[in-house]
Amino acid sequence: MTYLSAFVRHPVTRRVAEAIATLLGVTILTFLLLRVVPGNQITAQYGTAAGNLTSAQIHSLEAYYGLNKPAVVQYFDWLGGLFTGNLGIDVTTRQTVSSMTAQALPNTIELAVLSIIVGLVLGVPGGLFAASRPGKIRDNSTQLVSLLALSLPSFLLATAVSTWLADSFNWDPNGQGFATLVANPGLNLEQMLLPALVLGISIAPPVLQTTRASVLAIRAEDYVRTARAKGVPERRLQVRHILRNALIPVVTMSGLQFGFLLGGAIVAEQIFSIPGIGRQVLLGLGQKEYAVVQSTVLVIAAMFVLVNLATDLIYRVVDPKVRVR
Amino acid sequence: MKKPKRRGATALAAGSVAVAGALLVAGCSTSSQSGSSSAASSGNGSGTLVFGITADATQLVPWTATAEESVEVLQQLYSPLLNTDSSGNLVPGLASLPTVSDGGDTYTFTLHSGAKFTDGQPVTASDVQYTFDTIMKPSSAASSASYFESVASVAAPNATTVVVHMKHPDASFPSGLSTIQTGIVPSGATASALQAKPDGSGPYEFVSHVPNESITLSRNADYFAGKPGAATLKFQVIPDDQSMVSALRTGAVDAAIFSDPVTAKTATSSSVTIDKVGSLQYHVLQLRAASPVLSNVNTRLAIACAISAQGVVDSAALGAGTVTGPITSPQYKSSTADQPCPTQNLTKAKQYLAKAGQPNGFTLNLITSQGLYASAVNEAQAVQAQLGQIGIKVNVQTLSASAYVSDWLSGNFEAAIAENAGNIDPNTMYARYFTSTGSFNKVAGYSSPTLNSLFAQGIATTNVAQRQKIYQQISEQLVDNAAWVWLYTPEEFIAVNTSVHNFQARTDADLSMLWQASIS
Repeated sequence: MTYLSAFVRHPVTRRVAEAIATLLGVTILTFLLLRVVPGNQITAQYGTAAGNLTSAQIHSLEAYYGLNKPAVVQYFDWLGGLFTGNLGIDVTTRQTVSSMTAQALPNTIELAVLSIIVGLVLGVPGGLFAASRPGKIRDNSTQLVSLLALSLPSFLLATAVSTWLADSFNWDPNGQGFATLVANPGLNLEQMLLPALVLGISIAPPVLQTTRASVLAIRAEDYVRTARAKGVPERRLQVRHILRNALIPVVTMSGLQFGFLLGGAIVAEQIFSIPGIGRQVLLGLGQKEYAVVQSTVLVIAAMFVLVNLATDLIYRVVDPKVRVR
Repeated sequence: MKKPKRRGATALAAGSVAVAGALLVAGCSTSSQSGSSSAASSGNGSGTLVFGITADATQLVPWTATAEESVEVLQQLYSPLLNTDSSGNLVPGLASLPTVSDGGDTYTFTLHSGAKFTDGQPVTASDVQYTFDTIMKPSSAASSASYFESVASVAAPNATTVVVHMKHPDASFPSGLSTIQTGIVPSGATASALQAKPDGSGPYEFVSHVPNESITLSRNADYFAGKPGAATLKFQVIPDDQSMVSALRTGAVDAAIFSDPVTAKTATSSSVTIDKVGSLQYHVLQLRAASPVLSNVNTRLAIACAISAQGVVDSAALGAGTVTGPITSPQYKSSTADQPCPTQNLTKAKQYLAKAGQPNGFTLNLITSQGLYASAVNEAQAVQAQLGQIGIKVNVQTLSASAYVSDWLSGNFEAAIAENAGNIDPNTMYARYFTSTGSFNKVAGYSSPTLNSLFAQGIATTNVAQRQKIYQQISEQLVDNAAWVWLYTPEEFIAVNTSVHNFQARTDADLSMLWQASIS
């Protein structure tokens, strides 16, 4: 009983239970939202031409799409399939959602990783640069640039940059068919460059602000003053005492941004023709492919939960105080 | 103490900028290589013609196709019995033009000799019979089933002769056989097999499909109508219009279709030309006479007179359209002059309002869609402003595509902005809307014994001159009763790289003759 109680109360057990409850909530919410919106797969496929269908044709299509079953049965049919690894199928193309996701997810993960790298490469040094002289021109100008980057809609930046490069340098790698990292690494990195830059530029401002605020806060800490008084070399003070501690909130933010990018890179995927998971959801929504949307949203939610867990773990590595707690 | 600290931060910042810069330079330096390789793969020497499409062609079974992109791809893979020429007249396709029996009860087609499916099997009358029977089965849920409503049975007395027996004469029947949704498939082919691997007798044969990325086809050496121009035809999915423009300008894509005139204009360059084509489709303000607020004909006529169709074209479609009457079929086209108010006439509109007993106007609910087509919301706003001039307060309800389709199909609206399909036959365009038993009569909200009778005469008459008179009467009935207010037929813009030759731009940006295009 004691072991059971300890197991139940263990923080890890609690987090896992929370994660499962979250995912279950996501499945119900997605399922309901899809059904609340007017129309179904028949009207999505036929549009206004659905009015030409005879009642016999409509019955046949309802049976084909499984729309003749009660909603609760449809939900549990789909949920039951998940436990056997069956995410459902795209009824129009007859592709399994598993295979579609297996193709799309690596592209989105790659894009998210590259975007985070760009965001960190721009944001962290920018934050340090701004914090090096708070309130001075260096700080103000960096923050102004950051604000501009934050205010600039990513679809506008993406369109403007890709159009400019195509017109001026005849360069548009994304106009060709998408190349995966495995099939053609060179072309793949070319195709990922612009979307990663565009998304990275939108991630950099919050990273910059967080880094700046964190560095300024930590620089005022007693232990920094003590270390400096003890004669710790400046470079070591900056890197080991200030930067390392200042990066803790940046890690948290990067984790959240990464999770967001898994489902939120739709605009970049759409503009740069990257067959990622965001576009998969968008197309599924347009065609009312219920299984595609439900299962893909669940995959995104699961990834988000996993990334948050991983962030927590990294947090424990970076911050000794968390380990002690 | 401060200086070294600043230097450290500055150095780190400078380093990161250098890394980002290097990444960009690396991308750009490889880019020029890729730019040239892309130009090479787009057909220079390889004979690959790349056609850009904004959405994947997911419906690869002819009778299920409803999406434009699917139709464009299927037109390269399958052949219907008949085709249309550039003026919209029926011409032979897989079969000669039909021989019609005296009473119009049977249509006899003779198949083109030498036509083969891509699996090497000859196209026979049995294949035609199988295709038509499949389309007519309710379980196929074929979008083209409505073309066969008057068909009693299909027979194949020998390998090259197809006889279609009609329940009653229907002069509009042959026009349906020119659509790709009636393309011929091999006997026994199931929808799932054709979805996985299309097998037609069109100019190109299926090679591969990477979902949401591309569809690759190769030349069908056995194509009965001639040798297709390109060795390989690739449909490349580029979802964003502006990205499509970039792909055209860099030569990654050889041709694409735009509906937005501004986007099309940005695609124009020394290597890209734009062909502007008209359409049989029409944009219309649908008035549901069945709804209480529009039941009085004078109310509807007031609306018709208050609308300036040209004003809608100019403001909502940026001039990319032509004002139209009800019928857009080339041989039966309605005159825009034969209307109670050929142009906006506010005085007459107010007189009609007074006759209707509403001299100060009324409130009208108008639905439009966000997402079905680009100018829908702008058209609603233009109509709202124009009707406001005679005191009609228009409440515009902008719905999502699915909500709009749902409300539209159930006739759950007073007025609607719509883009409806046209056809080379006027009966196919309007019998479903304006006959009391038509499948869309609930949507149209208007029918009359006169119209029922005229539509019945229209399909029972095969003589074109006599049919023209009948459909002219139908057109007059529709505008005199202001069943709807017809606005305009849209224009489409086909952007073509100068390396593409023999490309035939056709009405509705129809790609049935794309097979003749070659690439240098």
